[in-house]
Amino acid sequence: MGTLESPYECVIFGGETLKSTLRLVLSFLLINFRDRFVFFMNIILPVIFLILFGSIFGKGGAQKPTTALYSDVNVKVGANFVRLANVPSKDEVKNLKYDVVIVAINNRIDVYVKSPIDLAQGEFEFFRLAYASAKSEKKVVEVREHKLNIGHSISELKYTILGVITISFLSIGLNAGVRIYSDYVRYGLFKRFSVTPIDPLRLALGVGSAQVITGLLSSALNVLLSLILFGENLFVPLNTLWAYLLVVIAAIMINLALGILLSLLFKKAAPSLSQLVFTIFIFFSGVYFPVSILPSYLRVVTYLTPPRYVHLLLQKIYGIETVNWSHFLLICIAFISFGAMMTGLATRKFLQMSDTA
Amino acid sequence: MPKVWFGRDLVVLDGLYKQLFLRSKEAIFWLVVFPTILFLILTSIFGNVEQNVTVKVAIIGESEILERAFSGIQQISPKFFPYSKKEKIKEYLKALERETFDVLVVLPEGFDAIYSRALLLRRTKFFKPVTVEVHYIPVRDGSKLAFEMVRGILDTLDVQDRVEMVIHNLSTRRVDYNNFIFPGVVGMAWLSVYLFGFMNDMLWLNRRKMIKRLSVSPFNLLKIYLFVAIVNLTSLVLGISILTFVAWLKGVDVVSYLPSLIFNSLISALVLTFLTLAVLVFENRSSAIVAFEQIFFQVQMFAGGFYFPLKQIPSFVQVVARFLPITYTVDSVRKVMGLNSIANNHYLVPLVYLLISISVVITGMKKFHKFEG
Amino acid sequence: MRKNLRTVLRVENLRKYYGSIKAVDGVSFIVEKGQLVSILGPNGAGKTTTIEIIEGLRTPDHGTIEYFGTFNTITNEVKERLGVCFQENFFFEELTVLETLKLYSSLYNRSLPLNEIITMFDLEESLKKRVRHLSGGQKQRLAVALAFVNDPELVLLDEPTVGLDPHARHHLWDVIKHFKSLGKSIILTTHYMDEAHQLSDMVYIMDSGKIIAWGSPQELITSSGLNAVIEFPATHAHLFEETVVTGDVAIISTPDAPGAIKRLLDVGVENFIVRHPTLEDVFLKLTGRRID
Repeated sequence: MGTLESPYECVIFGGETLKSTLRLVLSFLLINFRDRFVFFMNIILPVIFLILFGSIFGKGGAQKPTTALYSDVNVKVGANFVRLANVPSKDEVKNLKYDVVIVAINNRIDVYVKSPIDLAQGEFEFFRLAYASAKSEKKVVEVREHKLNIGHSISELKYTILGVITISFLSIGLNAGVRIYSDYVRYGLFKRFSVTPIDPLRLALGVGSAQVITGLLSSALNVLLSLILFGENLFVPLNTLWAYLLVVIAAIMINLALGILLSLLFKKAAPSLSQLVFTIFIFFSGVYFPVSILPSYLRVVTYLTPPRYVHLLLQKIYGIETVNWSHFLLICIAFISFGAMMTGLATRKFLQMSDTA
Repeated sequence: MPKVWFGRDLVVLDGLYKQLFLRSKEAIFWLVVFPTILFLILTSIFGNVEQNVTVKVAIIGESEILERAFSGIQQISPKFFPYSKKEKIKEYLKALERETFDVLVVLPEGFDAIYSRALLLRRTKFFKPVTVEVHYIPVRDGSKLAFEMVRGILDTLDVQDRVEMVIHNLSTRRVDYNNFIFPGVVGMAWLSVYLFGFMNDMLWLNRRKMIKRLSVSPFNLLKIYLFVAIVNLTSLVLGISILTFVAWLKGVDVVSYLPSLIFNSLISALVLTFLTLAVLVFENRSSAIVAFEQIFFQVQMFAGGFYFPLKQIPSFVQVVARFLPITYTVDSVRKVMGLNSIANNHYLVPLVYLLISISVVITGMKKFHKFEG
Repeated sequence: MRKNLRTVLRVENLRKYYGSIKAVDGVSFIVEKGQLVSILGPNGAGKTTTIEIIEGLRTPDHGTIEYFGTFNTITNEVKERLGVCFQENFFFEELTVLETLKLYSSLYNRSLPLNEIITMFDLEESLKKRVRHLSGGQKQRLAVALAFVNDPELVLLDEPTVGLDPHARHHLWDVIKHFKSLGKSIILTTHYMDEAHQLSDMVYIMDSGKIIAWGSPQELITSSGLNAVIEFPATHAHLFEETVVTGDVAIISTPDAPGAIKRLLDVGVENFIVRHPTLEDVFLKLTGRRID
């Protein structure tokens, strides 16, 4: 192989250079799996979240009933109601282990609230409507339903599993960004690399690719565990595999960029700040509970968090019309470009001399 | 008899206090400020869930009867459009798809008149129900809920007033979600201080060879551990004080909580101090400990019923929760308000943890003193 | 300084100031093919700054560096031909020794067979160990080994033997000598006088950012005018005019060793040592203090 004339004239995919790029990818990948902290945050924590949240939202694991009901007509109610066979006496009401006991007889509804927490009054109002509806023998208004079909529905469990995968991407990208561009810079990795003829682009590619592969492996593990533990099939059909790969790359790259940004702005404080960002994003990204329950000012905040978009993109792959395809591609391309730009620029910056006393 | 307390102890304590707390912005943020921030976040997310969930209903057509019916229900925000707009139904359906509203109701022209006539003829053979078209998107939870509510209202326009509902509050107290979440956030603060504070401080002292340095001086190492625990207890007290003050501003009944809060904070501090020391006897590699901290923190926080009532979560998670000590101390704080999920024996599991941890620390003391990085 | 085709590195009038601190103050030297050049000096003399300017890690305020007779800046072609070992080294702690060697070797277009490196640096046993499990000495050996993976023409070793036990130090000297015999040029910074004496063709003595003397070890000693060196208890320092006292030892260098010995014996001093002068004595004479 001939010598190089300029530092940046390196061909990335050619002979020895390809081998060297692959070696870099492999090295960063091995670190992701061998370093206990990184391995835990990227692989184990998402699995723990999957088991925990999967159990909470999964089949048979739906919320335990909190309301006992006796009604003289058959009222359509949700899963948090348990029907009683007989009218409970006052003592029985007191002894029943439910937060609320409802007795509906002859157009009168008695709601016994046992929990001291203020419960949603809307729930009771909703029951009153349902009871009145069941009572009405001949309906004066006939409701003609028109279902507007805009795609498939998604179960709460699927929503959560996709949320867990989204968070694992956040963890992988963010931690890599901070670790490599804050910790490793301080420890002298870039100093060591800068005396070698390494091309910044090649190093950036090595960093990015290793994280993308980690993201693919971590998400594949979660998809597999979802099937084994909860019977939820999230395997992507072959014809949309491209979209899945695109989302993984986009998610990792945008989170990597976020980690790099923290490293550039906060230097030594970046690692602890990234943990704060991680924790806050879990709450704000609408990953574990629907954004619709957030107050409107917080709903705006969710749109500033990359995981919110990644979660929407992932849902799109599973047939939920969260965004249209052109927006899907636009977001992916924007995330990948921004991530690639940040990774490239930061790598180049840190490979240049560190001229301090 | 040897003197137990020397003036130099104060110097050491002062040094540790400055290094580990006062001059560590990170410690101050995570241990003192973050619990309050989390409390504010959680109460703003869950505190007013009901007010946040309002369904937007678009109605094409005029109807005073419906306006009246909708106005009685807080959760619905209706918007009426003149009947003439019916020609532009496609635009309205697009708006429905764009989530401008959750459900679209199309009334027949002169709904009120037709409805009143139908009501009169109800028991005759001339009765003909009034047909109302309702468009919604079943795959969207919000839209589905809106549809169910609108259907309920339309179904019961005639009988609604006849159904009487009486709410009996059997509990003597009435508390809001803020009161429920407060002990959960306190629990999170306990965990932060001991897992991310105390445990990391011990690791830091070890990594920087401070333990090694001190172990060759006549200074008793046990005192160092005690001092580090005291420093962290200070941050705990400070963090919980700020949190309690903010909670009081947000209407939490902190006066009722206070005695139980103090008692359970001390129990939790004791259990967590010895538990973390016991773990450090077995393992002192930084990366493994950080992993332990995260696992214990996340599992205890999410499975332990900190943010939602334990009795509502599935049995599997409850089993996990019942093996964790802080589940009980948080629940015990809630007991004063009758918000507990566990009926009794709040201190059995924490006590078992404490005894096992103490015996591990005592038997492993030698290994512990040979703290090597 | 003369220029010839064998010149691998030419450094001229290098200056690097940090505020009022003159880290490097007009340093010039050349390194020829197959030559081992030592830069000798106490801590803070400016050795590492000089080396890091050559490595391209710092920009000089003034001066020029010419690499391999052709390049005036550090290009990738220069880096291909350069081997580097820092004073403090960072490794990926979770990679094994073999993986680390493979990684760094893959960064260059040319490389030495890894087996050769492994045998030479005695890394066979630790090959499959992760770096974080290595001892300090093993890590240092790995750091030096990495400087040779690309079969470099010029190798910059910044304090390579710090932290090594005497056996490992001598082993590393042998390896360095072996590479020198292959025609490699080596720049070595050290504050071990014996190391510089044993290995160097040329020694540059640095102090406070300046080169205060240069030449082969023997030339330095000869030109310093030092003859026999006598060490005796400092309590008798007053016996001679040009005595240098370090601690409780007094040192003189004299052309008349028998005369000096007689004077010592006359006053009853019997515990003295007479020896050949070393580079340490040269440094002592030049600066009035010991190197460490």
